[in-house]
Amino acid sequence: MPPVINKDKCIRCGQCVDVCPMDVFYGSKKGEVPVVRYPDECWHAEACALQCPKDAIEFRIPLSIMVPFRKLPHDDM
Amino acid sequence: MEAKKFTVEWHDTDFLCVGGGIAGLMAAINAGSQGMDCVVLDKADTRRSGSGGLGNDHFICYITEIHGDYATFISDIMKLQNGDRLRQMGPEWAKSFFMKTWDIVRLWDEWGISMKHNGEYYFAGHAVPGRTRAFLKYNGIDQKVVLTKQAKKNGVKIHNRAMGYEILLDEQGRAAGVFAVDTREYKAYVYRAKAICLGTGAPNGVFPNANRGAWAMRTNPLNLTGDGRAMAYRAGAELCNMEMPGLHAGVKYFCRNGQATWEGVLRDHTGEPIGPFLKKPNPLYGDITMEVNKRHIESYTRSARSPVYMDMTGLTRDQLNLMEHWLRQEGNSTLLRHFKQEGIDMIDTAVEFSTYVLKLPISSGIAFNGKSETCVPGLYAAGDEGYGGISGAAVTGWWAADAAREYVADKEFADAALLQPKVDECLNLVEELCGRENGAHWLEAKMAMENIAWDYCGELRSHPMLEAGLAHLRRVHARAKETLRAENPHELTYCLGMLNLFELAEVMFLMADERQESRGQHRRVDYPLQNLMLDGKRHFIRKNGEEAVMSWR
Repeated sequence: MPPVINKDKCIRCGQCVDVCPMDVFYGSKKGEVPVVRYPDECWHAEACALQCPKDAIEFRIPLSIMVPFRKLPHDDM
Repeated sequence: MEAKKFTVEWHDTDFLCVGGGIAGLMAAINAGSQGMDCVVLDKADTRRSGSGGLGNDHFICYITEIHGDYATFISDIMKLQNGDRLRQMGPEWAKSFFMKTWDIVRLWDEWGISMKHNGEYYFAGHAVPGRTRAFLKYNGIDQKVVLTKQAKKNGVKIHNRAMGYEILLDEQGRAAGVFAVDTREYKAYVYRAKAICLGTGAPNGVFPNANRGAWAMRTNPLNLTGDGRAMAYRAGAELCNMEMPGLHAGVKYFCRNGQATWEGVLRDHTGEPIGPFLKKPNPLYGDITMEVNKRHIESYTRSARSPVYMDMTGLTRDQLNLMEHWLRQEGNSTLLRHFKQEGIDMIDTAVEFSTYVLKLPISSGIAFNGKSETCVPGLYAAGDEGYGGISGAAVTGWWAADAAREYVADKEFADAALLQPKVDECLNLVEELCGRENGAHWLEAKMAMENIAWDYCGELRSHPMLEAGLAHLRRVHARAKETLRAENPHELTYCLGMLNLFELAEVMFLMADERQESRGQHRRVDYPLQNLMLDGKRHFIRKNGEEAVMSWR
């Protein structure tokens, strides 16, 4: 479930619902904590987090999009 | 089975922009500034919708004082990936386009999109070391928030959460309106308009995703379903080069655009650069290896020489911080969040890159001329049709409004009664899709289409496969029309989007069969050579009744 809303921080303003380009919050009601109805449709671009006035949105990155990497020998400059 | 009843609202506007991306908003801003009555329809919210909704950080443009001689500039540009796209638009179009880009840069700066870095114009990325740097780095993360504000300031009405589905024609075959549906309520809209600009972006889908576990993780948003292209085609407009697939490369699994924002060197697992351009990172140019051949990384995978890494080793902490800033401007905030969560610090960590899968490309789509006019009177197209990209969208959108303003001067709204039969047809369709008790989910239809496109019109193509694949695609498309089912208005927009994509997939098959040569990512095993006689020619298709007519010019 990509966006995860912190219910304690959320002020139920609905701005994330208004702005989400994928409408993953479809069906969320005004004045209530938004519900992520369509998590699989999230594009992971953070329109909701950028809009949130209370920094109440975190992301759980799906396992399937974790990026492979490797450490290199290197002196930190 | 009981059909769902939709309420219908009728509206009139001089100029209707379908799709509120960079192109649609720029068309609307220009129209508004010239006093036209203008509405922008957007499936989502114009502040964040489309491929540019979460930002961009590079804007191709020509500034005489910086680049000097245009001939040298264009000669260098034509050698890179933008060259193919410019070639098909023609040299005259390219010159008019580049001459306009500088105006747009100044306008954007004035409106509040910061086009400078530390007070200077800074060009970097997508470039061959020592040659022209044509991409202006800019702070685009909020570009659409700014453009939306500017459009409203100019009197434009923004109608969010409404998907345009069908163009309504008057008795003379001119564009006269659009049928649209609300994405959140059981409501339909009929917009009568004197001129219409389509800017619905580069479609996703048709081919399967590179990452099977995350079907929404594509270079462009999932809800870009080629609506403008499909409705233009149904209205009799020409589409162009729809058989030429696009290909992209980037961070593995986290499928995204923005390859040029990375400033490291692409290296194999032994640390050797996989291209000849850079031995160590160079932020001014970037490693253009994957731009020269997008399949180069894939060739390492297929010969068991992968993984291939984007290695930023050698950049200073300050340089890395700046690169992260640009990644944010390009819409990659979540990727950086992921790196942070996983403890990935690019100062000592290389991230894996891969070639993604084929997609319907930008630089094909609705055919338009130097005024952004299609062959249907009153219908314009802009954005990721033709040339594409951010500056391409900005300029073609602007031009569409200039042409539309002249066109609408002596036009009246079409008689509503004449438009009604098409409106009724569309209403029947959406009510049926929402009224079925059982049926196919849109995702089921999408997977079916992707399998067929990939198996029969994918990396290797031949006449027997294209013929058999098209026959099967048409059967599945017909069954999808009969059985697709939407649980609610949100799913309805995806059902309609899938019907559009099926139509575009059929066009792709037809055009791929007709193009009897190999070129770019279109590879025919029965015609392995590039046909040099087709160099500089574009391939067009249009509907004549139920028949598809193709031509070259």
